[in-house]
Parts: sequence; structure tokens; C-alpha cells
Amino acid sequence: MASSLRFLPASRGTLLKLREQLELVQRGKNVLEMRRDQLVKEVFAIMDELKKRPEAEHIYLEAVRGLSRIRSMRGEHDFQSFSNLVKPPRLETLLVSIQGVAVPEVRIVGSPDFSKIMDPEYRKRLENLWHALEAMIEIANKEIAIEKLCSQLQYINRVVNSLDKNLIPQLEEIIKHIEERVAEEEIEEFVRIKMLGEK
Amino acid sequence: METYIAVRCHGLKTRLLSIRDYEAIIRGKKSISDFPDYKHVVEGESPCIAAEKIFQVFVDRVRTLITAAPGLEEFLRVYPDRLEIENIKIKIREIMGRKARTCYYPYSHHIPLDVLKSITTEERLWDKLKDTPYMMEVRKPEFTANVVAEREAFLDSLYFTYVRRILARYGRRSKKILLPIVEWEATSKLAYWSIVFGEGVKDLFKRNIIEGLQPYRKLARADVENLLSLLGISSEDISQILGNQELSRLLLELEKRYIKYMKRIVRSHPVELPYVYYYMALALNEAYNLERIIISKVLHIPENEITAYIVC
Repeated sequence: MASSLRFLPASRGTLLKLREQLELVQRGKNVLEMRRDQLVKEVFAIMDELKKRPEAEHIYLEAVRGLSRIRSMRGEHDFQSFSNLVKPPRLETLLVSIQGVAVPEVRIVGSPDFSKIMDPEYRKRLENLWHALEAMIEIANKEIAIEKLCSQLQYINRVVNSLDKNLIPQLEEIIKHIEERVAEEEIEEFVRIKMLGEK
Repeated sequence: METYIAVRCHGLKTRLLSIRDYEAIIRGKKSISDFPDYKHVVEGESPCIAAEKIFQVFVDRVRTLITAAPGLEEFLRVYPDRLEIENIKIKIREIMGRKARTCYYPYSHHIPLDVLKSITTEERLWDKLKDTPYMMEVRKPEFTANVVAEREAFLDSLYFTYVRRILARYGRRSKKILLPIVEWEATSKLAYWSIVFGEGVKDLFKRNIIEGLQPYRKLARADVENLLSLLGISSEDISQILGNQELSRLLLELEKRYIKYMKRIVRSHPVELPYVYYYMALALNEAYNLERIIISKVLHIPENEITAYIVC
């Protein structure tokens, strides 16, 4: 950009065009800054929900430990064949839009069916594990949303910084340079006309 | 022959693992493969494969006894036949469940394992069972659709009816000693199913599903508390177990009490068939203990907790 700007003709037309360009770039920068603020707000809102993670992890680990104990006490044959009676949950992954950012989200389409398990201990432990997993899936969705929003934030920051530190100063500098050149040419023209008049 | 096989069992019992051996395995001082009978069990292999190898040792021990006393084959197979019943339960869960592949005990008697594994429908399974001594003189009751537990309870009932019938052929004396042991175990199964079905267990009796688990003593109240107290579980333990639904702990406790009960009974009959029955119970118990240790280690269960799972 800088190299192409250097060879622009110093004329009033170029000056007008460059001023328009500068105005557009500044407007674009403002829009991006607003979007950045929105995304930051969204990230903070989701971060609040992530505070539930240690508790959810604790519940999940307890549920896994509970099931591990049953597995140890009842044996592998019993455990494996009992787990055959559980109709597994149905999950699907789809893309949702958060502030215009595409975020993959796991949705529970169907809960597991434990109705064929009548042993109260197995059933209780499996239900506990499923509830803990539901909470973990919810948290995983939030985490992936934060990851995607943050990568979008990084991208916007890079663009804003590039506009702020690079393009806008360059445009301002070249406009100033062309303004000076145009002013010089006007004075030259004025002097030339004056001298011709005196002759 | 009976005396010979009982004496053989005394010899074989010395090869069973002691509590110190179990503790050494749990604490990692010894590996399962350090014991000659289990040298083919590799640490770190999948629990299913390891369990299969462990139960194969039990099956081989039974085979050794059968080879030593072919005339007693029917009696010697009656205790391990519970593994065949467990395999049938596994098959039922497979048919009525997700049909995912699962592991079976490496034992079969009346239905070859390959045949059992190849069955794909419930009707075919019951047809196959009708041709075995388990369902001799027993009609298949009407089950509630999709209630797997009813079928499993019926299989338990079939097994205990079958055991009583076989033991009756081995003299009045053996029957007199062994029957209370069988009845003790049947009562413990009934207690389990009473917890699972709650009040519904009366309906199971009416529909002849758990006829074979009928308590040997006529009980004034055949409810869970009464059954468990009959098996020696204290009232505090009963309320704690039932309150927290700790069925696995209850089953372990019942197994421990069962072994102790058998030990007490066979002490006065050291060279008779009941001792052979006791030996087989100990051998199968060893397989279950090792299976528990292997799974617990894979699942990183604390050592002191694993020790509590050992039934000796």
C-alpha cells in the first residue's frame, strides 16, 4: 500500500480520493472496535458460566468413581453385559452463530434409556454419570465457544492494529504530503502568472 | 471314589491363593503371573481377556476333578454350571439390549458356548434351554415385555431347582449336608431379587418365576429385612445398605458369609462330597477375587478399598 501511495500524482483529485479513503478506513476501524467490544462482553458472559466447571468436574469424577467401584465389585462380565442394556444417548454436532461467529455445539437429541436396568444401584450410578456428563457437555460447549470467539477477537485485533498503526498513519502522511505539494504548485502557479503580468 | 476326590480337593486347596497372596498382588509386590496357575495372565491386557484366562484356570481345575472321578461328573459340574447360567443371562442382556459384543465365561455344559453365542433371538434361547436339564419339568412362565430382570430371576430359580435335583441323587447324607448350603445361597438370591423388584417379588412367586428360590424354612415374613437377617446381616447394616442402595456391598458381604457358612458346615465332613463342593466354591471365589483385583487396578481404585473387595 505504502509503495503504491508513493507514486500517486499530487493533484486535487488524488487528494479528494485519499481523504475519502481515510474516512472509510477510520469508519471501518470504529466498526471493528465496536465488534471487538461486543465479543469481549460475550466472552466475559460465557466465562461466568465456566465458573461451574470445578463443581461439574467434581461431580463427574465422583460419578465415575461410583461406577468404577461397582465394576470392580461385580466383575467385568456382569458390568459389560449390564451396560448392554443401556440405550445410548443420541448427540449431534451443529454450527451455531454467536455474535456472527460460527461455533460448533454438541446437542443432546435423546437421553440414554436405563429402563431395562432394574438393579437399583447400577441404575442410580448410571443416571448419576449421565447427569454429570450432561453438565460436562454443556461446559465443553461453552469452552469451545470461548475458543472460537477468542480466535475471532485475535483476528479483529490484528486488523484494528494494522489499520491504527499502519494504514491510517500512512494515509495521513501521504495526504499531508500531497496537500503540501498541491499548495506549492498553487503558489508556483500564482507567482508565474504574476511574473507574466508584470512583463 | 467320593473319599478319594475329597482328599484330592484337600491337596488342590493348598494351591489356592491366600489372603497374603492377594495382598501382595494388590500392593504390587507380586504379579498374578508369578503364580504358576496364572502364568499366562499378562499384566495390562484388557480386563475381559484377563478375566477369561482367570476363569479358564477354574474350569481347568474342575476338569482335573472330573478326570480323576468321571463317575462323579454330574455332581462336579453342578457348582460350575452357575457360570453357564451367567452366560445365558449375558446372552439375554445382549439379545434384549444393544447387541454389542461382550465377554462370556469360558465354560459350558448343557449348551456349547459357540451355540449360545450364535443365538440371536429370545425364543431360540428358550427353545434351546428346554432341551437342557435346567428346564426339565419346568414350564416357561409368561414374562413382562422388556423386563430383563424377570428372565434373570427365572434363570436363578431354574439353577437352584436343578442343583437340588442333582444333589438328591448323591445319597441322603450328602443331600442333608449340602441342601442347607444350597438353600442359604438361594435365600441370598431371593433377597437380591426382593430388593430389585420390591413388592413385585410376590407377583413373581405367583407367576412361578422364582419358585426355585423359595426359602427352605417357611418364613412368617419373606421380606428383604427378614431374609437378610436370616442370612446374618445386622439390622443396622440392612438399613444402611437399603438406604444407600449399596447392593454391590451387600452381595460381597453375602459371599463372605456364604464361604464362612460352608466352612463351618464342611468342617465336620472333611472327606465327603460337601468338601468337594466347598473346594469348588473357593476355587470360583479365587477367580472372582482376581477379576476384582485386575479391574480395580485398571480403574486405579485405592489399595485398601481393593482389599475390602476380597472374599476369603
